[in-house]
Amino acid sequence: MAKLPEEFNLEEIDQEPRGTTLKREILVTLRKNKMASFGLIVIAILVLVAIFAPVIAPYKNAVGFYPEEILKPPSVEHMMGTDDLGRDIFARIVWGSRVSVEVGILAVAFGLIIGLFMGALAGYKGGMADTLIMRTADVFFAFPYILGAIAVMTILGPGLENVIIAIGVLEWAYIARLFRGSVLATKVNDYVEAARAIGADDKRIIMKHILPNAITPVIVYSAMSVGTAIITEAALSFLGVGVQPPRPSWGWMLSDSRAFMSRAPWMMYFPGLAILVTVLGFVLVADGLRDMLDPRLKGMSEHVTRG
Amino acid sequence: MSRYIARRLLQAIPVILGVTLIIFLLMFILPGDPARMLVQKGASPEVLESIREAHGLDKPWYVQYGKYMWNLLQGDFGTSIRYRRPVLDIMKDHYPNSIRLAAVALAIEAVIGIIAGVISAVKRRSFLDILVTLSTTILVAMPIFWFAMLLQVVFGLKWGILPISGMGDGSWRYYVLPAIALASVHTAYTARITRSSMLEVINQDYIRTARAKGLSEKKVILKHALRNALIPVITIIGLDLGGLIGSAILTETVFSWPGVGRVIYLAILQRDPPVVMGGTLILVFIFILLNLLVDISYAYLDPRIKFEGRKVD
Repeated sequence: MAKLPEEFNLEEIDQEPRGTTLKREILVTLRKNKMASFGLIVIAILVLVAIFAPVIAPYKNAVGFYPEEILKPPSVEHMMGTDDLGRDIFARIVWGSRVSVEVGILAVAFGLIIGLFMGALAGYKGGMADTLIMRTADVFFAFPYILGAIAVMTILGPGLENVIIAIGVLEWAYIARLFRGSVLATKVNDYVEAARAIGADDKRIIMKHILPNAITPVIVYSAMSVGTAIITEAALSFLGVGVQPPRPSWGWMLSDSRAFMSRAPWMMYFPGLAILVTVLGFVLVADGLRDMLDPRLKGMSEHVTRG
Repeated sequence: MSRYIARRLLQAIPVILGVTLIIFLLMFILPGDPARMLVQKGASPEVLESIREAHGLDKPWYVQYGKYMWNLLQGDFGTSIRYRRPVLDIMKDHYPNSIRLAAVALAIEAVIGIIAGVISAVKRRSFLDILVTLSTTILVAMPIFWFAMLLQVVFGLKWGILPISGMGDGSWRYYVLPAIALASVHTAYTARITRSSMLEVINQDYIRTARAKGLSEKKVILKHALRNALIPVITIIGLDLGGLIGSAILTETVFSWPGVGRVIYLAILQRDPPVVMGGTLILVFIFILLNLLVDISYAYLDPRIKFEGRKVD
C-alpha cells in the first residue's frame, strides 16, 4: 500500500463531527422521551446509592447478628423491616446495590471487549476466522444461558469477580453475532473503500470508520445487557452459586426470604422490588436508545431474563 | 425440501460436537473428584482407585470423551455416578415433567401474548394499549424467581387456592402457578412483538385495499392483517419452547418442580458429569430440532424465503 505524503494528516481527515453530534442527539432524545428519562433517573439514583452507601446506611447494620431485632416488620426505625438475623433490610439493599452495579457494568464491559473484537474479526476478515468464530458462538447459543452460567460458576467457585467472568464469558457470543452483522453491513460503504485507498491500515479502518458506524445496535444491546447481567447475578446468588455472604446481594436476600414467606413477607418484597426497578431502568433506556438510534431494531432485544 | 432438511441437519453436527466437547472439558476441570463424592469420608485410596477404574475416570480426558461419543452413537448416554442409574432413565423420569410444564407455559404465552399484542395494536393509544405496554415493560424487567415467589404468597399463602410446591397427583392445579411464572417474561415479549408486527402490517397497501373493498373491520384485522403479522411471532414462540425447558431452573427451584433443569443443576453441583452431559445434550437436540421446524414452517408461511435462510436472524 502506498505511503501517504507527509502533509496528508490522517488525524484531520478522521475528524468526523458525527461522534459529538451523536452524543448530543442521544442526550436530547433521552430527555424528550419520558420513559427513557425515568430510566436514566433510576440508573443515576442506583449509581449514587452504590457510591454513597456508607453515608446512607452504616455497613454494620447490613451484616452481623442482632438477636433483639429479628424479623421486625417495617417501622420508623427499620423502614424496610429486619431479616431473620436482625439485619436492617434497607441497609442490605443499599449495600447490595454495589454488587449489582459492579456486576452489571463490569460483566458487560468484559463481554464487550471479547465480543467486539471477535465480531469485528469475523465480520471484517470473513473466511476461516468468520466460520470459526460464528460456529463457536453457535455452541454458546445452543446452551441454556443460566445453565452455562451455573457451570462456569462451579468451576471458578463463588464470588463477585467470578460472577462477572461467568456472565462476560456467555455474553460475548451475543455481542459478537450482533456486531458481526453490523460490520458486514458497514464495510461495503464507499467511505471504507476511500479510507483504504488513502492508505489506512485494517486497524485504523476498523477503529475509525467501521466501529463508529456499526456500533449502534451494540449500544442498544449493551444497555439491555446490563439489566440481564444484574438479573443473572441475582439468579446465581439466589441458587447459591453467586456472590457469597456476608456480602449483601439482592439475590441472596431473596433466597433467605423463602423460609419466612408467611412470617415476614417484607423480607422478599424489597429486594425483589430493587431488582425490578433497577432492571426496568436499563430496559427503558435501552428502549429509548433503540427508538432513537435505529427503529428497525424493534423486537431485536433478547429476553432480559434468560433464566 | 428434503435436501434442505438434510443440509440443516448436517450443519447441526459441529454444534453438537462443540457442545459435547465444551461440557466434557468443563466437567473435567471442575474442582472435586467425582469418585470421592460416591464414598464415605476416609475411604481408602484403593477403594477410590477401583471406583475410578469402574467409571473410566482414570483415563485421560480424550479417551473418556472418545468412549463417551462412541457410546452415544449407539444411544447409550452412560450411567449416573451418583444415582447409579442409566442417564436415559433419569431423563425419561424428568423430561416429561419439564415438557408438559413448558407446553402449558407456551400456550399461555401464545394465547395471552398474541391477544394482548393485537388489541394493543388495533386500539393504538387507547387505555388498553397503555395498559399492555406498561405491563409488558414491567414484566420484561421482572426477575422470574421473584415473580414466582409473589405468586406463591398471593395464591398459595394468602388466598390458599392453589398448591405452591411440587406436582402432587399431577392435576392441573399444580401447573397453574409454575406455568404462569415460567410464561411471564415470554408472554410480555410475544405481546410486544405482536404489537409492533401488527402496526407494521396495518399500514401496508393491501390492508387499505381490503378496507376499500368494503370488508368489515373484523375481517380485515383477522383475515388480512393478523395472518401476515404472525409470521415473526411464530418464529419467536417456536424457539421459546426450547428456552422454556432449558431455562426453567429458577421456576423449578421455587416450586420444587421435578423437572430436568433442576436435575441438571443438581448434577453440576454434585459433580455427576454423565447426567449433566446427557441432560444438556438432549436439550441441545430439542433446541436444534425446534430451530429446524421453525425454519421450515417459516418457509411455508413466507414463500419468498425459499429456504435461503430466515429473514430475521
